[in-house]
Amino acid sequence: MPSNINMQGKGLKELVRTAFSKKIAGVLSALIAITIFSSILSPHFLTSYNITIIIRELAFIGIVTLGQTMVLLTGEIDLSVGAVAGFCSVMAGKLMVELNVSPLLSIILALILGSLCGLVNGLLVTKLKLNALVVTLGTMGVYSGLNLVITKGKSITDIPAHIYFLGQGMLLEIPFPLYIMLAILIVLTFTAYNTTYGRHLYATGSNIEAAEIVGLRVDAIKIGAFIISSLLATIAGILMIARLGSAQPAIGQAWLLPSIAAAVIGGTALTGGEGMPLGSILGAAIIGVIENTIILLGVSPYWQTVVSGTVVVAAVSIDSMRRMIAGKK
Amino acid sequence: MDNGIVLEARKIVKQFPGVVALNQVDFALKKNQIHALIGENGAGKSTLIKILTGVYKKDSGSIFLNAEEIAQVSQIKNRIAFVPQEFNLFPHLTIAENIFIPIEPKNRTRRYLVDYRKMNEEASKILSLLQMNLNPKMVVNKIDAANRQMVQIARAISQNSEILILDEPTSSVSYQETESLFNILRVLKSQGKSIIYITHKLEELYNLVDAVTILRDGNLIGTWNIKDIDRNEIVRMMAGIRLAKIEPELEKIKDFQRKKIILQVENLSGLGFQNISFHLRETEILGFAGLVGAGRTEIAKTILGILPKSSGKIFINEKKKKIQSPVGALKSGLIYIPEDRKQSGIFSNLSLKENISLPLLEKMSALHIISKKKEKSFVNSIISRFNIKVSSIEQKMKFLSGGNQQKAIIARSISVEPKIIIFDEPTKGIDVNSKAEIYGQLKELAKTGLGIIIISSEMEELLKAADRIIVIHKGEIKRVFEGDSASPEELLRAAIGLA
Repeated sequence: MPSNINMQGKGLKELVRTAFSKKIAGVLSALIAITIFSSILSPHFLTSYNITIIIRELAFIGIVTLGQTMVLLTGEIDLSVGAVAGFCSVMAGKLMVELNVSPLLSIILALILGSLCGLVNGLLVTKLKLNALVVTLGTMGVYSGLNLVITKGKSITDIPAHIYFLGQGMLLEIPFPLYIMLAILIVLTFTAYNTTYGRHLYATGSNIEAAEIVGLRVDAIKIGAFIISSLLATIAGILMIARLGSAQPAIGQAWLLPSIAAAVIGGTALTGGEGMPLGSILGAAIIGVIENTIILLGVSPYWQTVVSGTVVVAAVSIDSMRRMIAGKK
Repeated sequence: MDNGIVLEARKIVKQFPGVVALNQVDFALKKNQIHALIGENGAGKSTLIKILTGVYKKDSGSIFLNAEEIAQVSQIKNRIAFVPQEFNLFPHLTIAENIFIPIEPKNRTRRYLVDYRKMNEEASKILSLLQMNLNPKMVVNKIDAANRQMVQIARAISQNSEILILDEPTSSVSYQETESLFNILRVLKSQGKSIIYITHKLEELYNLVDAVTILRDGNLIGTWNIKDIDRNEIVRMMAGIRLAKIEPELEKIKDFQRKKIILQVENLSGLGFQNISFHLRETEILGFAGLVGAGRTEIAKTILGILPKSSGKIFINEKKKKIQSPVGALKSGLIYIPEDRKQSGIFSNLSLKENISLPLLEKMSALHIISKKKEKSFVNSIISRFNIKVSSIEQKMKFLSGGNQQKAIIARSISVEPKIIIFDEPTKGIDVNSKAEIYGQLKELAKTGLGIIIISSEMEELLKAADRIIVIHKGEIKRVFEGDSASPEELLRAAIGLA
């Protein structure tokens, strides 16, 4: 459809525009610096095999981070992203394998389920005026619990082979999931900068009281963000079961903390109203490079989270200090 | 100290992206002097003060305390007490705690414990000096704007510093509190303190200060003894080329009795007020006078659906409306412009452009996609129409001066073409010339058929601008005046509860 292509075009243009903004420059240079550092530390880093691995991992975390970013922009937070990814992808697996539903339909149903999870989060936070941190912590427990109820802790294997390409396929030497991530990045960048919803999102996160007085429907805006977050998490989950060929209950568990850290590294303020989709992706890339390098260096797995956690704290501290120096006006 | 100058700034320069806030400004405060710092919004007053108190770093220039040059302003922080214009209190702590942090009276033997009894006693003493009978144990977010401002002043006074800086200390307080503040300042002056006083209320100057320094667009215009300069000259120098209007000519539309009633409120009761009934006609400007804390803001917020009502009816264009939120109010053409613009009005980390275009975004969009061209041209027309000074519309709102922020909010609210506007303290903290502009625009708007309610604590301005004035006292309507028929004294008497 011509209008769709036009939107994508505009989104791409907007993406390029944000890529040259000052805020991105900081994150981008950090990414380049860490990449150079890693390639010095390990000769295996800059191989096409390794880069492919990094890109594929980045795609999954990136998609989840983009969703988290939308919620953070409204001044809330979504701790249930990993659990939703696991729960909905496992449901998709169950439908496809045990109930013999067509893969396409299973995926669609899983996406609807994911959206409903987001709707539940959104309603609890807005209508009952509950703290998002607490609510999504609770729903995280519910969704991951339901995950275990359905799977009883065992993977659902034999996912139909014709969807494997979603997770394992390559197009022009680049893993397919990355294309999905890029498409989502373009759409969200376009949404953030060119649509009324995007503008309302930033306004709500920036000053919710003023947003209400001006007549914005802040509840609907927040619910929308939660739905986007859960939907994207579900997409990441489905891509993962396609990659693994099985629906493992552990899917998504490792995605929560990086999604928040990446967004913050990328310039998203936890208080809301500030942030860029592209920044979050670059933040995810930084985390991805670090985690990859740790593995390449043969660091004991027990130390991995210590190192990646330290780097996250360092990155956020550097960003904070930069703000302080700049804002010491 | 030979020439009696206690604090001096020489050739101060300060720049922000796109604007020179201070251009080689000199300022000298003498001992035992009350020195006023005057200028339009954006002139640089707050910037200069922020440099003197260490909030901003100057780009160049020197600062002297008692003739000694100061390298780091942080060294003299404890010699200067500052009362900021925007509230800087801890809302969840008590009045006493707010006054004494971080120098709370400590327990004599165990120095890590706070001596609350002593703290509350000392707080009571200071509060009674200011003629405020508030319980120092009250939590600050439960008291109204006027009292909060007085708590800030109490805090500064309790620090007993040789230099006291007050930035628009009376913008939220009433006449009585202003008088008691002035008395205290005179006492402090006689005790050897030196005071810098920033205000837009020129009437206050002649009552209080010894000297006045005028800034304009970041430049020093001059410093005078207050006896050597009159009000008109001051205004002229603040404004520069533009002609200053101290007395805006506002023609009143007399025949609005025949215009239809657009807003009717019957027996409205809610938090802090009861049984409010009034009507508002097309082209009418209705004033809500009263002391700060009388309940006017609560009435407005209840009409808008921001606060819940306990009883009463609201009719818009003779149709009964159930308004439960500003969204619904907007649908009925009713809009509210809040008093505290920083808290409820602006989106600080969005750009000026984004702030202004927000309510009308749909009109500039097709299928929810914003037309950047339309947005830009709309915002540019607003900026010129409302005379908002900014180097680029992409500037973040937080970098604009207070006055420009206020103008932007007013512009934004008017741009949605409401039928009824409730303005809460529209010209608080705004300089004389901008005030005249704003009242002029309100009159123009009223002529086009809008009904406007102005909540204001400045009686003289209400008398000039409003066609009718309702005086609220302790949550009830005390008296209603036709605009011409009241004097400031009568308004004040009604406001304080006398017949």
